[in-house]
Amino acid sequence: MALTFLPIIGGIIAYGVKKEWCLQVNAIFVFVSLLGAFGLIGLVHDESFIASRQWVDHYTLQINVDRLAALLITLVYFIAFLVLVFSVHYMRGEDGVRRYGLKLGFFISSMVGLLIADSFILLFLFWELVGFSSFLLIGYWYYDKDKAQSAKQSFMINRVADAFLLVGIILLMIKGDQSMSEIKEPLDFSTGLFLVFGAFGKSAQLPFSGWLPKAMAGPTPVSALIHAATMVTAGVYLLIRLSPFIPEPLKFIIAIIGAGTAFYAAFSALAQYDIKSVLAYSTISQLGYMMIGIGVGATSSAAFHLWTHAFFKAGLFMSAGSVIIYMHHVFGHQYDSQDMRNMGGLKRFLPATFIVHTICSLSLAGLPFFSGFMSKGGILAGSVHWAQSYGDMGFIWAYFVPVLAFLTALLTPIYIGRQLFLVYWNKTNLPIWITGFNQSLWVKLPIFLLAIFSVWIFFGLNPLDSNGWYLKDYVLAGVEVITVPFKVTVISEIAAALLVIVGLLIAYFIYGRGVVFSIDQKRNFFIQFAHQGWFLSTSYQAISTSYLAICQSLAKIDERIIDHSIDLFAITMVMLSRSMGWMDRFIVDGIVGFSAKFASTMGTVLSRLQSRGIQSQILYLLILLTGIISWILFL
Amino acid sequence: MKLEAFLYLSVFLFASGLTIILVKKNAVLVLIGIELILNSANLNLVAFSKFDPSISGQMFAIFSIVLAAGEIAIGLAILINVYKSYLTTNVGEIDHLKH
Repeated sequence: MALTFLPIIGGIIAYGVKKEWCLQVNAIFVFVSLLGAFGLIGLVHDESFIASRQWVDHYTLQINVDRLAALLITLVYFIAFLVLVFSVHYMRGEDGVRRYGLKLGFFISSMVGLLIADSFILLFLFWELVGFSSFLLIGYWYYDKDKAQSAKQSFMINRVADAFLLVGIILLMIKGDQSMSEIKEPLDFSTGLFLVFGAFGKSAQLPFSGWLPKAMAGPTPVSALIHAATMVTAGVYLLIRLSPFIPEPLKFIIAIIGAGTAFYAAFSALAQYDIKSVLAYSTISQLGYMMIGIGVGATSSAAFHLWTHAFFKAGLFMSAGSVIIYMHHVFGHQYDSQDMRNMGGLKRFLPATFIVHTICSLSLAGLPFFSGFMSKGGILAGSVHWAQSYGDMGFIWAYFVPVLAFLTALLTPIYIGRQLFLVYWNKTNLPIWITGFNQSLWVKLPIFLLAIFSVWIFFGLNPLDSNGWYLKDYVLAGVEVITVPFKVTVISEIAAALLVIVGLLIAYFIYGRGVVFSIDQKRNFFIQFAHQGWFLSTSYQAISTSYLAICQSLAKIDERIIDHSIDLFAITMVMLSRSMGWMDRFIVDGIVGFSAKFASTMGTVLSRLQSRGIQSQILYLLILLTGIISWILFL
Repeated sequence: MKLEAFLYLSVFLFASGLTIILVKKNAVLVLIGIELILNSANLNLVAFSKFDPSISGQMFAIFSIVLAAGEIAIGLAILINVYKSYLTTNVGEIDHLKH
C-alpha cells in the first residue's frame, strides 16, 4: 500500500526543496518505490495479494495485486524513474520545476493505484485521477493559450469516454459485482460495450483518438511517461483483465476498431512535420495493435506488446526530447525546434541520440532481432488465425483485421524511417549549427537503457519467435489464450519481416536522399488529409461549434417566443380587465341606479298619493270601501 | 207613500253631503257636509220606523241628533285649533303632518 503513495509524498516533499534539487528528490523516491516493486513481484509470485476494507454498508474496497499488476507496477516505476532522470536536464531552467515534480508524483501514484485497484469504485477513482493528473501535466505551460487549450481538449475527450466507463461500471454493480475478481460469468453485451468504450477513450482509439496528438503540447518527458508507457496502456490493462469475460461479438468490435485505428494513425503519421506528432500517432497505432491482440484472442501477445512498446516508445520520445534540447540550444525560439523540416544531418552532432533513436525505431518497425518484432508478430499471427476461423464460417469481413494490420505493418517502417532520415540523415537543413555539443549525461543514460531494452534478448531467447516471451505464461496464468498453429505463425512472421524491410527501403528512397522542403510546399489533398489526422479533431470542433450555434439560435427563438407570449398575456389581461370594468360600470351601476331611481320614483308617486289634502284621502277611502263591500256582497 | 222614496231622498242627501266634503274647500262647509250625511242617516232610520210596528227607529234618531250636535261642537273646537296652527281654513292647504 505504501508503494502507491510514495511518489506523491515524494512530490509534495520535493515541492519544498530548493529548485535545483527537487527533481532529484523525486527521483530518489521513485527509485525506492522501484525497489519496493521488485519486492512486490517476489511477494505475489505464488499468490496474489488481496486486501479489502469495508467502506460503507454494502461496499468494500478491494485491491488486488497479481503478477500482471506487479509487473506493470514495476514497469511504471522503472520508466518513471528514467523519465525523472531525463527531466533533470530537460527541465533545467524552468521556473515551475517544483510544480512539475509534484504533478509527476501525483500522476505516478494515480497510475499505480489504478493498477492495483480491484473494486470498480477504486478503479474509476484512479482512472479519473490519472486523467486529471495527465491534464495537469499536459497543461504544464499553462500561460500559453494554445497549450492550455490543447490540455483542456484532451481532458474533455477523455472525460466523455470516462462517462461510458462509468455507465458500464454502474451496470456491473447493479448486477452485483463490485470488483474485477468477482466477475465470474461473461458480461452482457451492452455492459461490455460501455466498458470497452471507456477503455477506448483512455487508449485513444477511434473515435476518441483526438486527444493524443493534442497532448503533445506538454513537455517531452511527460509525453514519454504518459503517452508511451503508462496512461494509454490503462485501457489496454482493463481490457486484458476483463478479457476472459468479454463476449465474442464485442471482441470482434474491439478487433475491428483496433485495426481501423492502427491504420488511421499510421496513415496520418506519414504526413506529420512535428517530431512529437509522428510519435503521438505512432502511439495510437501501436495501441490499435494491442486492441487487435485482445479482440483476436491473443491476449498474451497484447500484453507482450504493451511491455515492449513501453520501452521503445519511451526511448523514442526521449531521444526526440534530446533532439529538441539540441535545437533549442542552437536556435533559441527563433525557429520551431520541433519541426522536422528544419532538421537534417543531425547524426553528426548527436551521435548517441542517433544510435538510440535508430534502435528504438527499428524495434517499433518490427525488424527481426528487436523486441517489437516478437510482440507484433504474435499479434499478426493471432489475427490471421482468428480471421481464418471466422472465414471458415463464411464471414469474410473478418479478414479486414489482418489486412489492415499488415498494411499498418508496412506503413509503420515508412513513417518512422521517414522521421529517421529527415532528422538525422543527409545534409542538414539548419541555417546554423553547433559542433561538439555534448549531450548531458542525465539525458544519455536513460535513453541508452531504453535502447538496450528494445533489443530481443531481454524478452525471449529466440529473436524470431513471437511466442517465446519469458513471461508469457507467467503473466496470464490461468487465463486462456488461443494457440496459433505453427504454420500460421511462421508465415505471418516472414511476411512481417518482409514488410518491414520493404517499408524501410521505401522510406530510404523517398526521404533518404536529400529532400528539400519549402515551408509552403504544395499540398495535395492526401497530405492535407493525413496531416490533419483525417480531419478527426477538426470535425469534432465543427460539431461542437455548430451545436453551440444551434443552441444559441434556439435560445434566441425561445427568447422571442417567450417575450411574445408574455406580451400577449399581458395584453389579454388588460383587455379582460377593461371589459370587466366596463361591464361593472355600465351594468352593475346601471342596475343599482335604476333600482334607486325606481324606489325614489315609487316613493315620490306614492307619497304624493299620501300627502294630498284630506279630501282626496277621503275620496280614496270611499272608493276602497265601496270596492270591499261590493266584493263581499257579489263574490 | 212608498218606502223607496224616502230611501231615494236619503241617498240623495248622503251623496250631496259626500260631494260637499270632497269638493268644498272651506272647512266649515266640510262640517256642514258631515251634518248632512248624519241627517240622511237619521232620515233613513225614521223612514224605516214608519213602516215598522215598533218605534225603535225614531227613538234611535233622537239619540243620533243629540250625538250629532255634540260631535259638531267638538268638530268646531278642532277647527278653531287647526286654524290657530295653520292660519287658514282651506282644507286643501292642510297637507303636512307637521307645521
